[in-house]
Amino acid sequence: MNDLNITLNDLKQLTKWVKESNDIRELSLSYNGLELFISRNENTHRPAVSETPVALPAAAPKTNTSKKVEVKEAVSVVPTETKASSEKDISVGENEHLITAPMVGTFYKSPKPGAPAFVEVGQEVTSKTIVCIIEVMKLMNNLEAKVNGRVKEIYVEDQQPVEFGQPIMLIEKE
Amino acid sequence: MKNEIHKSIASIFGEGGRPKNSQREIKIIDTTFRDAHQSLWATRMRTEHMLGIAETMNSIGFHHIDMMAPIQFDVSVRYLKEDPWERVRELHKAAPETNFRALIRSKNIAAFDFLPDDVIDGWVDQLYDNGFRVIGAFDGLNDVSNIVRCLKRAKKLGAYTFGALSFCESPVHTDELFVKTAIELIDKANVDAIMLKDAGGLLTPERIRTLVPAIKEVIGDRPLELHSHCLTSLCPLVYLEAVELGCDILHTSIAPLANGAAQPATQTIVKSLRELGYVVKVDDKKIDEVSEYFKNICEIEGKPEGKPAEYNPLHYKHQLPGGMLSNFHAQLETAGLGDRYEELLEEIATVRKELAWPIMITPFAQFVGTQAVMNVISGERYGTVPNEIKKYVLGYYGRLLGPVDSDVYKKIIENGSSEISEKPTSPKPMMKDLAAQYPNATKDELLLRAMFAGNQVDGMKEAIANGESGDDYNGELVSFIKGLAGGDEKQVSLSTGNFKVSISR
Repeated sequence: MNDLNITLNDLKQLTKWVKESNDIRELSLSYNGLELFISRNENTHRPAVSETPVALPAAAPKTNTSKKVEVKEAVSVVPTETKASSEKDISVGENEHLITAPMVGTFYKSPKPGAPAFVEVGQEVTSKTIVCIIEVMKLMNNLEAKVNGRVKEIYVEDQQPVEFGQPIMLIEKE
Repeated sequence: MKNEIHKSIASIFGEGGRPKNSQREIKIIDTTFRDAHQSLWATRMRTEHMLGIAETMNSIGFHHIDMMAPIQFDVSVRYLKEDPWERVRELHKAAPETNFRALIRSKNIAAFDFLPDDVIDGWVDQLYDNGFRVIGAFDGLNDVSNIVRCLKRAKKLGAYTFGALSFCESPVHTDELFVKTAIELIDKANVDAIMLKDAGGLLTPERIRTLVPAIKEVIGDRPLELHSHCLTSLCPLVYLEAVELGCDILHTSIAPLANGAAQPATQTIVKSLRELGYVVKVDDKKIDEVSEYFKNICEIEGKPEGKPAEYNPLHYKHQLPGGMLSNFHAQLETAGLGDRYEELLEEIATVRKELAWPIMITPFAQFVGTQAVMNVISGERYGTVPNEIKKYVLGYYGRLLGPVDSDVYKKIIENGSSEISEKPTSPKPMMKDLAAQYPNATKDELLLRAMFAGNQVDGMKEAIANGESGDDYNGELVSFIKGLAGGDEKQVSLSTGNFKVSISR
């Protein structure tokens, strides 16, 4: 264990791994003065091994800087079901048409970056009006309004990832 | 050759093989830098990996070394955050005696939609300017009219050109189709070689026995190259059979970057060829050096080695490469339909048939797969139709090999975007506008901008300027810690000397 080579990339990967593995509450690593501690627990204390803030020693390979990397509460508990809650809040009236995502993908409000949006709130649309693009695996799906009316609400931001069935836009029928 | 009774590979070996050097020479095209990592590492081989062994590769004796297809540009820009043109220049510098190869995909290169001629022309010019002297092209629909222009341009510049036959298994992919395509490639583009390109690893020993003689008969003294994949484990046998029937050049990669979804291992194929009496002029010791080099990278970075696949005929049903299958599975999972995976495989096969049997490679595999997932998820077949599917049936990507199912055709026209005109339009020139928009950009950069929408190219340039790598590779330590926490234990801790690690759930 004397010649263990810990790089910045290692730390980046570990942090990413913990962030993505929702079941890991805590990770602590210490070696040769290097200490990494990540916790999802709110009232936590660093384990006894680390009395100092997480820092990368100057001896760390590949970089010759003595840059300090502070990682405190790097990952906090964030509810992941934002989609479900937003769905509950939306009520679709009889005179309204809800456009939802046909698949997991990315929402685009305009035909290309910087171009004007297909539609804005308040705009009149016909059933053939393209209201947005949902990109699914690099395939472009032009979503059309399907009804004549007016855009009442847009629930997603440009380039936002969307889930299957996620509400995109509400159209008030004519 | 023709007068000999065709003996199986097993019989020849069973009788003790043939005397050394009793047969003609077979050449090897190496795919380690191109298709091997595309198939095994999700195209994540970095330029530094290649440069580290380029000098050795340079003197092995390969006929060509394959380097760039569209996806290598794509992944370099979008994920690895390194300049793909820089890779082209650096490798040519590091291995000056090597004939590196570049492959052009139809008229879309790395994009899905067709690009205008000024982009394609510029692309060919920059491939040549940056060093390539071997340039080839393929069209997934075997519509030669899509690639004649780029092949002719490459040839005019002075490159050796190859035209590919996109092999696929279906009722419309007959030997006659490939013979016809080969003739067209020679008549219209005067290519120097014909490459039988089996991206889906679908060739069988039975099929190769009819296909190779049929193609050889019409291509004169131009060499025939074979390129396939080990997805069903039959590939090494297909290769040897092909050579027995007159195939001149084989595409292989160096294990551990071989087998599985990749090409057969150079080491094994070369040995078998020599046992069969063929002359193969490659340096085995240097190949072993390359092998050791990549074994080490696999270990340090936690990248997978290629493992021989199991034979599973289900592969012929969906014909999808593994990566795409797992992506579609994930799509179903997120829609809460993970249990309908079998149904999805059926739907993929049905959609493919309805759409006149497109080959299951980019972009057609995405077309078929995405439509199939949407059909399963929404419960309404062709209720939502991606723009590209409508364009495909209307002939925007070339002529189809058969008729689209008439009911399906109607639904696609009706439910697809009304903005898409029924008569295919050719894309407008792009280079002039791009040059005006980015007055300081080189031609290389402008071409990348033509290919990648949004801020992908800016992202790449920024990462390069900051000295960052986009490759999320795991070092030894990370692989070790992940392995340590691989189970579902609540608490794992390890301490030795001054090394301590603990993980809790």
